[in-house]
Amino acid sequence: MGTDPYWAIGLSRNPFIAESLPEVPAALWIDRGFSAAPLVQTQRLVQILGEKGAGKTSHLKHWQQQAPGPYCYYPDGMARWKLPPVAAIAYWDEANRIPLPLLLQRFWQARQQQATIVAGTHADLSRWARLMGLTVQTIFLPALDVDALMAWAHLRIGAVRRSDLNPPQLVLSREQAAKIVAIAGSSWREAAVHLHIWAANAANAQRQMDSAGF
Amino acid sequence: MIDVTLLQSEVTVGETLSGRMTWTASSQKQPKEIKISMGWRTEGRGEVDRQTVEEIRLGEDRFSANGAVYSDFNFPIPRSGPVSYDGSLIRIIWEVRIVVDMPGFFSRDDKETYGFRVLPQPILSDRSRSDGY
Amino acid sequence: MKFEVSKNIKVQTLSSSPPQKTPEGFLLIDQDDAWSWGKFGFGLFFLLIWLGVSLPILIVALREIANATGPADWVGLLIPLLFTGLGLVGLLWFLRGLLMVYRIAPGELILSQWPLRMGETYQVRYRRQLRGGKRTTQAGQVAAKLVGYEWVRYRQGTDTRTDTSTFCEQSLPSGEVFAGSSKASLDFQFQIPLQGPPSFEASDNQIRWEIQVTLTLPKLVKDTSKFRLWVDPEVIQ
Repeated sequence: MGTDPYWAIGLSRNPFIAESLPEVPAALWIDRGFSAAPLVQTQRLVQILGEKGAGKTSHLKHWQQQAPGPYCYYPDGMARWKLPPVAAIAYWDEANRIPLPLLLQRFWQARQQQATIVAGTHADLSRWARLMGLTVQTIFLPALDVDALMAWAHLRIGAVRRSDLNPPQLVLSREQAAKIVAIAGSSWREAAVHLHIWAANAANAQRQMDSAGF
Repeated sequence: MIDVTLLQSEVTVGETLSGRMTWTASSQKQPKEIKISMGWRTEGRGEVDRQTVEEIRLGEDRFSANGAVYSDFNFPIPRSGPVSYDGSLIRIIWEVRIVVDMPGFFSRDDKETYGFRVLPQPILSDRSRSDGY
Repeated sequence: MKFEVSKNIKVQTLSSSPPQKTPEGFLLIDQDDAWSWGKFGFGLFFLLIWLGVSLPILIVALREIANATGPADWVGLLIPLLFTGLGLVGLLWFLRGLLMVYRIAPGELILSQWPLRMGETYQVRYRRQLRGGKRTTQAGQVAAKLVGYEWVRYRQGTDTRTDTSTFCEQSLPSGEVFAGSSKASLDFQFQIPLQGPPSFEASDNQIRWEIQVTLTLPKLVKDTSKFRLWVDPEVIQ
């Protein structure tokens, strides 16, 4: 693929393409202090709070790989009128969208079964969980920071390098990372879009230089 | 083992991509079918879109006793494209894809892809300007 | 011999309406400027429901304020006030849209050729007619630009998100709308850059070209019409 811009910088493709599945492969996981899955059967709500794109779903999926249990995603609109699963450990994503009557019933059910409910949510559900007799653990996902972004970018770039012999010619500088963090706010998803654009621009620039004989 | 030789690494819309596919057996097993297809896919920040534009299927009657198969192909590129593209959020990638369907439930199919570029059609402007207003 | 060729060629077309061929040229109309029963009907229905629920609650809350004994009692007024406020803002926005559709016809763009090609120059006329014999009382402005951008869509669960990245933005000639005019119009030329890229339209990945025209008529309208272009994979030499 002589004209592939990513080959020109030692990569098989852009490291930051959107993944079809929300779970992060173990080799690309960045520890932000909450990598260990919650314990099962604790009669507890473990809620993970964060802005959009902060990594709530990624954490739920990462924990589910360690402590398997049913996972349920709550969309907007009428489709959210469905009972969330309750099991030894169960994962509810966008739990703030669960209609209150269903939420209360399932919290009560979880208490009866001494279940652990792990919820990704934008709103604090502790009041309702305590009302139904569950203890609550709240995790606030830390804001996106430069070091975490650089570590994550480094892993992603390494995962698509073509050869172990030649290092990729794509390196995220601290300055560039800081600019992306400033634009993306707390959203890893936003940061990924900007990283994708950065990598694409670098690859295309290198290809143009190679074509011009530099 | 799959090997493909493309006569062009770049082809213009409306032209034909030509090449030869050669497959040699690495075991006693004969494939059920070999599929040679040409198409495009997207890669980037969006969900993947893809389309197979042309396809050839080689059946068992094409496989010789010594386990080698070869097939020439000539795939026309649609005039409507799309052309290859490397953008900030999207790439449009054209590929020839070979899938060797091996018999048996636990057998793994052999697969290879070979990329090439599709370019826009250069034309001389022959449209008269019709200033309708 | 078992030999099979399958064709699955997709014809690339614009999801928005293609231009009408007229004696003047190829006519594009910005449908977003036009009246739509669906759009306005739904908007009105939603607002009526919203205000129908929030206003009675606000009235009840206001009555209870009459018996307020301290600042804490006023807290109960905040939420209905906020919801009613949002509803009223929505109603104003809806009425503004309705007024604009009443006052001014959708924007039109007439192109000399269609579809377009990379490297080729086109003559264009933009126009937008005031309705009901109205005329502008003050001078206004028409400004156009050529925009090329990538559009992608991806899904997380059933949530859908889109992102765009602009690869080309060219300011085009602007013009004045004189006081006393019954319509705004602007003639100009533009060229699709040689390097393109050509238009591309798949479900979740698109390369779009648009002419965007912003019309500013003081005390009447400030609105941007967007006209989607189609650029074939052909480059002029």
